[in-house]
Amino acid sequence: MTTPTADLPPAADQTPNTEPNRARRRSGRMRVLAVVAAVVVGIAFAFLAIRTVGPHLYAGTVLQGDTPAPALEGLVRADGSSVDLADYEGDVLMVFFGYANCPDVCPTTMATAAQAMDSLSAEDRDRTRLLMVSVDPSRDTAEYLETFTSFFHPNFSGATGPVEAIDSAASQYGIFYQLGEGEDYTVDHTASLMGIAPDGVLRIVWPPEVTAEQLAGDIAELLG
Amino acid sequence: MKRLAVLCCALAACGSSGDGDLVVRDPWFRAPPPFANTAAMYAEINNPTDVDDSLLTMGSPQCRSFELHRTVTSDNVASMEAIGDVGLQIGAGESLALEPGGLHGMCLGLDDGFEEGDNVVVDLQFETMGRVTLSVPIQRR
Repeated sequence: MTTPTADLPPAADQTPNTEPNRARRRSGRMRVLAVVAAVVVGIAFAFLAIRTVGPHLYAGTVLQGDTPAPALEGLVRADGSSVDLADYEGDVLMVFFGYANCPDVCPTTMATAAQAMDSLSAEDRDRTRLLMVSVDPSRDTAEYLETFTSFFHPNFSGATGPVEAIDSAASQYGIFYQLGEGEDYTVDHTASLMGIAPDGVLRIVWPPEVTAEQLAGDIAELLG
Repeated sequence: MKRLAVLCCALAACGSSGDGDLVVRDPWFRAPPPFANTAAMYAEINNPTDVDDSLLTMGSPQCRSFELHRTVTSDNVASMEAIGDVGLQIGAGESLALEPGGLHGMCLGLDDGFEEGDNVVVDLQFETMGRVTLSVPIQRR
């Protein structure tokens, strides 16, 4: 490649404004532009290479092993269908155990997850969903959970079921929960978000304080 | 945002006595989903005076009841503690943050039409400064 300065035309004010000179000037400018473009593309590739080669540092705790995520058996959605994790294959599914009367933690987590959705590429967003499993089945109907979750993002939905099914799911996912007392009781519950990878493996656990940016970064990485 | 803070300062000044005023910055309710029963309010309360104060209670005509709560997260398990009658102390020159995942006002039994874009009248009762009335926006954040 020739250096850009070698073919630069003389400064305009010293050059007679003849037709050949104008043509030469144009071709000189084209060359400068080509070199600048090449440099820009080169830098962009270098950045991409660094990002691709460098390992992604997950904000969540990555789980080892290839055991498929526990099935969430016996849980139903608003439309009456049973939860089937096979429906989410090829996607990232965030799983959260919460309840609709939860004033602070659950709406905050939903809002954070929704912000993460917004910062994903359209393609990744289409492949990312969230399922909120109720830890308060006596107050949460599947219909209401659906209203609650979809308020935050259309890809979010809810599931509930008999206490036995919820206890079983909670225990398999390492979730603690305990109902409080009184009419307006609150529920203590593990507020981690869990991520099932596109291959159906429970791959990652995010702490309650995870940020939208961290979540989006990890999800994009899980989607590959 | 700046305009909001100024507005809230003006409102706070109305409800306080003495030279120094408590400043309530950026109060907001997280917009609750339709039919929700509860909504959390957040704000930062600054006490630039040289007198200690305490936030004792909160109330709103648009909530059946209003409680001061603290979310405590331990080993990733979140639980809620009600703040008792003692209230939340805000020492002279100090600030108190009501923020997601921490201290918050909890409005229970929401009025109909508690929706994003609306404002909610909230009274804050302070031990020294007395009552401060705010108009708090309902927002998605």
